[in-house]
Amino acid sequence: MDLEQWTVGGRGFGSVMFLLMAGEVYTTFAFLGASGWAYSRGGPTLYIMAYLTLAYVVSFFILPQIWEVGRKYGMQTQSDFFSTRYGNKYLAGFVCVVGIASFIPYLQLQITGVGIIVSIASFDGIGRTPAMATAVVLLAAFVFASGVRAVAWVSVLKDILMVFAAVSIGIGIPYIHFGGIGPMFTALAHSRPAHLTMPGATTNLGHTWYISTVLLTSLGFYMWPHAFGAAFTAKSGDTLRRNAVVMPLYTITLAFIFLVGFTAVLVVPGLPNGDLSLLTIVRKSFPPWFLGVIGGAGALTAMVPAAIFILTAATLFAKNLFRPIFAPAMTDDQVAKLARVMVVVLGLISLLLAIYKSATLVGLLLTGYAGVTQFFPGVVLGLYWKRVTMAGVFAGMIAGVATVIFLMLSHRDPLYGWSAGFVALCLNFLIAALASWLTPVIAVPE
Amino acid sequence: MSPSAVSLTTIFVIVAIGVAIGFLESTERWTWSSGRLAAGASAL
Repeated sequence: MDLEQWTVGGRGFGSVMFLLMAGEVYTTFAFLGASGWAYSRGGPTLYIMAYLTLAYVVSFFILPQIWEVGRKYGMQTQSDFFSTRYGNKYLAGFVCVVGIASFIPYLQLQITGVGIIVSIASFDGIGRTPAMATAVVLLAAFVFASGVRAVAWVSVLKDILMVFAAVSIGIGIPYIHFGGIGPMFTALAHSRPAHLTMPGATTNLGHTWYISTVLLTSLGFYMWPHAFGAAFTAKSGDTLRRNAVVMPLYTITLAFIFLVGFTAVLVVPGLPNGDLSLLTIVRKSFPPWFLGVIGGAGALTAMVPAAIFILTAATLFAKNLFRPIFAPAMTDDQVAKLARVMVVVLGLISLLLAIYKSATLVGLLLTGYAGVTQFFPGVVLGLYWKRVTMAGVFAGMIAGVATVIFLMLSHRDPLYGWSAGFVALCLNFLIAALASWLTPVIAVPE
Repeated sequence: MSPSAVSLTTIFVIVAIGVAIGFLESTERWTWSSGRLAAGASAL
């Protein structure tokens, strides 16, 4: 299997297959994280429904163009886009570093999810750490042996199970405890009247945070290197447009997950971590075999996307960072071997962070979004504005990433109510535009 | 079987099926992605 087959599946994925690959956006974040925030945060959680829908509107317009230039210039990764469009290997390398760094919390999220699933399914008999370690070994073996094609068809099983799980528990759990969805909301509004409004159970996630976070995440949705790279696996630009039309319907599944989280507020109050709420209430409401089915769906929902993330991050490191900057003479075969080694390295880093650094699943995802969305100005200006320059994009991206790091590390997210990532994105756009006006344009590919 | 054994066994079976599908696909013993099903998908 050559590098192109391993990474973009030979650019042969038609509508159904591509849909399945694109479905990797529904990870354990959607399964445990969304219900966890519905439980612990309330109203602000609804940003998830808004951003996923708007993200497909963005993708309708920009992904076919990305696919077209990808086909024309043989691109396999997001970094290839920056390298080809702006002709600078250091900018492409910087994109790799930010992309890989943003993947780490996303991988940590999936591994943490598996730990939660096994811990609750074992009725607290098995600790999270051995469960997470086993998941990483299985994940690395899975990706090491195959590549993107193996992951694609496991998605069939994963997506069928996820839709089944979401609908059955989303309807079943409110019915079991309150006699239906309407009575559940009535009871919740009576017991916790502020939970379903802004800022919900929080003090700082108000309307400004909601709007800025929806903008940040919907613009950044396809800036994740794996989602961007998935555009290259499509068979045509029309496949991507059809996908953008159909995918918002898939988002409806998440509404059922929210219902479980809201029901859990009243049925299993006082959990130390909201991410435990979905499986805790399933354990309380159903027999053990059904808990196993939901847990199995959740485990695949964590592991299948994690396989894609780790594959993408490893390929970025080997092909777009290490080879062009440190070892230009490497062959494709050597790059593929190095990528397989990186699968193990990235898996171990994510495992260590999952063990020693705790955060909510949604919090982890938003940290990653704040990083990858800084690619957005470089992508859209590169596609639609001939006057944009490499220096402008590079300066804007450095400013954006530095702002994100400063605000996150100094615990200033949200900043005066605004999402830190969105503040950084605005600064990034401004600097990219101004610096482009001030620097000369260098000839770029059509 | 205890409740935890039932739920963990169910999870194990589901994950094992998923991993098996992945490995079989990667070894091309089942050529779904390059065979009939992919042809059907491409036609959509």
